[in-house]
Amino acid sequence: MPLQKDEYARSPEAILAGLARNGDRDAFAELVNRRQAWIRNLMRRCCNDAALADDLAQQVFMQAWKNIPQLQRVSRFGAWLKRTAINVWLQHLRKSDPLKNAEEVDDTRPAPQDSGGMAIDLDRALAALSEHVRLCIVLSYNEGMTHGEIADLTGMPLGTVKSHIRRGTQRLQEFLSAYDESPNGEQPS
Amino acid sequence: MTVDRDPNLQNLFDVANQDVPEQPFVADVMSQVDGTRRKAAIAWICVGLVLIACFGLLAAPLRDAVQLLTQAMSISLVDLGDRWLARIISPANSVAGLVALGLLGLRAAYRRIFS
Repeated sequence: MPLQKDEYARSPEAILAGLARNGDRDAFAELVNRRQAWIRNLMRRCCNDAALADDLAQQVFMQAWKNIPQLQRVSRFGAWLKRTAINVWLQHLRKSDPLKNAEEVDDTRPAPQDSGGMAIDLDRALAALSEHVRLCIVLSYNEGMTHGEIADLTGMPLGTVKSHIRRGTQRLQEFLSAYDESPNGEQPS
Repeated sequence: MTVDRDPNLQNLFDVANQDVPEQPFVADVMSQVDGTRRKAAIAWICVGLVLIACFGLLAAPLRDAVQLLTQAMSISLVDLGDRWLARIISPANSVAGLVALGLLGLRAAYRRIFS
């Protein structure tokens, strides 16, 4: 018997994932509803373009709908969705201009000034990093993943992940040094 | 594995994650999902119709072919008359027996060559 609308809202994620795996559209809609902010923010951090981030987030959920019958452990839906999101981002990188994925960081970009908000400044600073460095930084700081987990998820060697994060952190510290005085989200003067 | 993260940067990332409006994003995703489901349903209906048409068109020729094959398989290789011995060895004394022996020989040869 199908669940009522409010029962979906009250159900644990694993139950919803199990129902969605069996083709329950409403259960999947509830999963999208719960996870959309997380995936969209993750994509915004990665690409510094809200419209593109939303397009990519839609692709993530469409791939999730297509592949959810193969989801083995419904309790790991979140981790599985994150892996799907990273794969979508990496596919996007492969399709886009390969010169943008060069290892060198663009040192000529100016540090953020007159920002419209901390999120915008952070996204601008992230945009100054090369794509792979940015991905490692986002997965480390935004997702709280360890170096090993990032290496496993992205397929990069562990040493490369460590150096990307070290270099990216230094660059972000330079770009966002104004926030050192006000780390709680207050705009720098 | 412990990971040293810059606390100021970590704080910035924590605060920067915004509440993004769920509509129309969720509606867009679900309309795409519905479109995919509709396409899949139409594809399955088309496949079903094609299969039904194929069965309808090929049913008579297929039945005739199976009948011919069944009759051919039961043809005796050596005419032993209508005695009880002929009935006992009829499974071996038939085209079907010959085909079975041929297949067993092929399998043995395959195993000898490739194993």
